[in-house]
Amino acid sequence: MTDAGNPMPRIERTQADFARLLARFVSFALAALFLSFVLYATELVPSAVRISEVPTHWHLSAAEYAARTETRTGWNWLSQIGQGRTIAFAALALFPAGMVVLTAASALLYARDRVTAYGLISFVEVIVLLVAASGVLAR
Amino acid sequence: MLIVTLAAPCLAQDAQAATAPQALIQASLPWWGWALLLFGFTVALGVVAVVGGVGGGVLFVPIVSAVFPFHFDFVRGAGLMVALCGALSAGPILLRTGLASMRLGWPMALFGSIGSIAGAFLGLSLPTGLVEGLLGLAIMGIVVLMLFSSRSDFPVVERVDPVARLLGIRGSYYDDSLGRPVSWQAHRTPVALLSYVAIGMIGGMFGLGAGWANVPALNLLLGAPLKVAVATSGFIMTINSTSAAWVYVNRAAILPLIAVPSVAGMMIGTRIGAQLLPRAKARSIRWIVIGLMTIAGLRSLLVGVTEVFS
Repeated sequence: MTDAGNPMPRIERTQADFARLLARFVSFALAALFLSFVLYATELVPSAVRISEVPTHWHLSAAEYAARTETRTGWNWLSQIGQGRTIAFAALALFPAGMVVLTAASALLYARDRVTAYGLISFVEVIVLLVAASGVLAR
Repeated sequence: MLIVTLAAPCLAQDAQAATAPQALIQASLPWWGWALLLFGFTVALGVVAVVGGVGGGVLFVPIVSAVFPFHFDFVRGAGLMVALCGALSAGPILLRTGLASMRLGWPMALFGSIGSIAGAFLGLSLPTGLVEGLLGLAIMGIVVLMLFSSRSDFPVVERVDPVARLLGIRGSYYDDSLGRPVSWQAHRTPVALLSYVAIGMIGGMFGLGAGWANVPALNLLLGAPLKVAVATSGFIMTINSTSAAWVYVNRAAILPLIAVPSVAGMMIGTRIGAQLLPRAKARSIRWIVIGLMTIAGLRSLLVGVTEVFS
């Protein structure tokens, strides 16, 4: 439906604020991804499995690869955060982690603007994402 | 080398037999050579994806799994990161201009993310051969959808359904090509919500971005204008890919050496593609994309059938 007579459409305040938060997060996450990969690739931060050895294992399934390279699954990878490979992995995990925080921010923004239905939808989405992030489904 | 890679899964009947060709392939390049090759390949894939009118994610998984010697788990993990990062980088501008609608996106994303988690869980639990065979079927289905689905720039919505009315699923945006504002509203919301469970499941299971299904669902089913459907599809993908990505993160099924060059290559490729779009022969390239997807889909189907019945 097109409407020639109507004034310029205005974006909802919630959506405009969410877009601003999203833009800041994307810039930060992309910078973190680039820096972490440089640390990993240059081996400035050493890894238990050197980057040059990865191609000899990447034909294995994720479970076999984890067993062969002593990569910890679930949230146990955090205990290996001192390694270059884990820092690069953490930078990749930052993208879904940031989206959980942004979804929670969306619930708060909708609550602030008294848009109850969407506040609830965002809140339920946070729970769904937290269940996925918890690792319960990975066991 | 790429031909050897393509043929390796079909030549090998089991994991033991696969070891010899795999070792040969791995030794043929140093790690940085693989990273550069993958980066260059995904730049090209990104260009073709934009000009061909499909999402990068849907091309990434079937084609990279056919051409590179990575395990299917890592290709799907990287595919999800490609879809997530691509959708995230375009998200802010599409939300700010009002082309993407959070009111349209959130309800669909909620149902889609539930399906996406279930799909990711299933995809990592079922035998690889079976999942690859199912991917082949899914890709062939997407090719059929690309060939036969019609799109409507401004669908007519005569009666808004009660759910859409309750949630206030409506909006307006300024259409540059028309030079005036466009208002829209939605219908058939309950059916669309259920369809999103299935769309999310396919996306999560195979690590595909779901733009190929989002756009027809939002445009033809819900009645959103085509531009709103395309833009909101990206927003929904950020949520659905996030939920599936967690399952892959928890299984350590994302390798930085594969995922980072892929994400970087696809982001650069899609930007180049967007620049080339006005001058490119989009119709011819769309046929090339359909051809590539058909070959990759048939290959996945062949690998699946070979592994399941061997």
